[in-house]
Amino acid sequence: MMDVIWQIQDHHLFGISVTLAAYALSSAIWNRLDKNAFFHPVLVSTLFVGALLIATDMPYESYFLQAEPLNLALGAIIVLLAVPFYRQMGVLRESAKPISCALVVGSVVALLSALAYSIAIGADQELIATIAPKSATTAVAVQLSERLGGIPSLTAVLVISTGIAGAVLGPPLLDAVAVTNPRARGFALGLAAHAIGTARAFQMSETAGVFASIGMILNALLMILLVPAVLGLVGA
Amino acid sequence: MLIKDCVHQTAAGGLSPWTFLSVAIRFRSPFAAVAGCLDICSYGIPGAIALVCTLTVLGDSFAYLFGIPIPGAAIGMMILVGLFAARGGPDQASAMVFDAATPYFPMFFVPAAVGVISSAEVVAAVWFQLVVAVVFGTAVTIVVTGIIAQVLLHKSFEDCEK
Repeated sequence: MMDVIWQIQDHHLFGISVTLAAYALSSAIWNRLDKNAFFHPVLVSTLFVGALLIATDMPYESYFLQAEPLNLALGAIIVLLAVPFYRQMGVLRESAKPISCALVVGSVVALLSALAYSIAIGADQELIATIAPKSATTAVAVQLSERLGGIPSLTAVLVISTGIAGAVLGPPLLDAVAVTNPRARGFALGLAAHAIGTARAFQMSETAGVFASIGMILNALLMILLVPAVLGLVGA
Repeated sequence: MLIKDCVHQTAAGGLSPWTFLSVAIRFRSPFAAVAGCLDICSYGIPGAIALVCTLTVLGDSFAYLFGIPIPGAAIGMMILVGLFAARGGPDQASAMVFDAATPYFPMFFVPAAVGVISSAEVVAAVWFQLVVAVVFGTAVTIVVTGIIAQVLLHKSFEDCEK
């Protein structure tokens, strides 16, 4: 019996098929639950795959080796972000000045508010590199964390949690501080909570959604420059 | 030596130099290959994927060569924006691949996220910091960005009306 399980686990396609199946199942559950942010398919399928690995005693390293093509596709996806970026060029040119000012302030606040507590209590460099890129979109954040000596898998989980926190807390918080402009609401959601926040913004209105994707893309780009700079300052 | 390292690095990253070679063969020389990237889009979806992979390889090699701590794919993205600008917009195949993949973006980071089971010890030790970073950090960011964006965008909107 164990032989058969090992045979299955050793197959090169095991990792990919498990991941895709878990994601498909989680998406079905998510749709049933009316796309409740707490049951985001990434979170649920991560739990499924993690539980399966623990239950069958499969080391994470061998799973990741099999599922690596999916991870590599992330790189291709970042390159393809050129498509939405180019599509929003018109809106960007129109209000370049207010958008860039809001972007710089927002990204710096995102980075510092995430790190403030950890720096204050003197966390080590590895943890800071793990937390720092969390408000950037996952593909960028994971690669930044990897590059700067963080723990990429933990960064991935932090990014997803950030997206969920933003989608759940964002709209009531924005109401509380009387931010009613749909463009400003969208921009804040996309900048702070990347794709999950952007999805939430599209539920509010098309305008909010477009500004959310602008916020997400620009924040990801700025983080590529900001995170290494801030880490350099903290490390020095 | 440096170039060999570079090739090794990109190969270890899992992307084979073959993608670049295939473009080079198609356009008969490596120089023409770079120039031909503009036209590779007319080879449909395989062409678009080859272009994207090639740009990732180039970006990674570039970052490695100059020791820049940013993901190579981000460099590839900027090159692609440049290519789009040069050709007056995204080509149909790239746009199609992007639009087809968009709804499933989150799926691609499940393999990385599962790795959290091997850093369970770290999480147990620093969970409070992580919760503060996620909840406090995100809330502050949304409030500050929302207020500033509203003030600035409102102002620019008024300017337009005048």
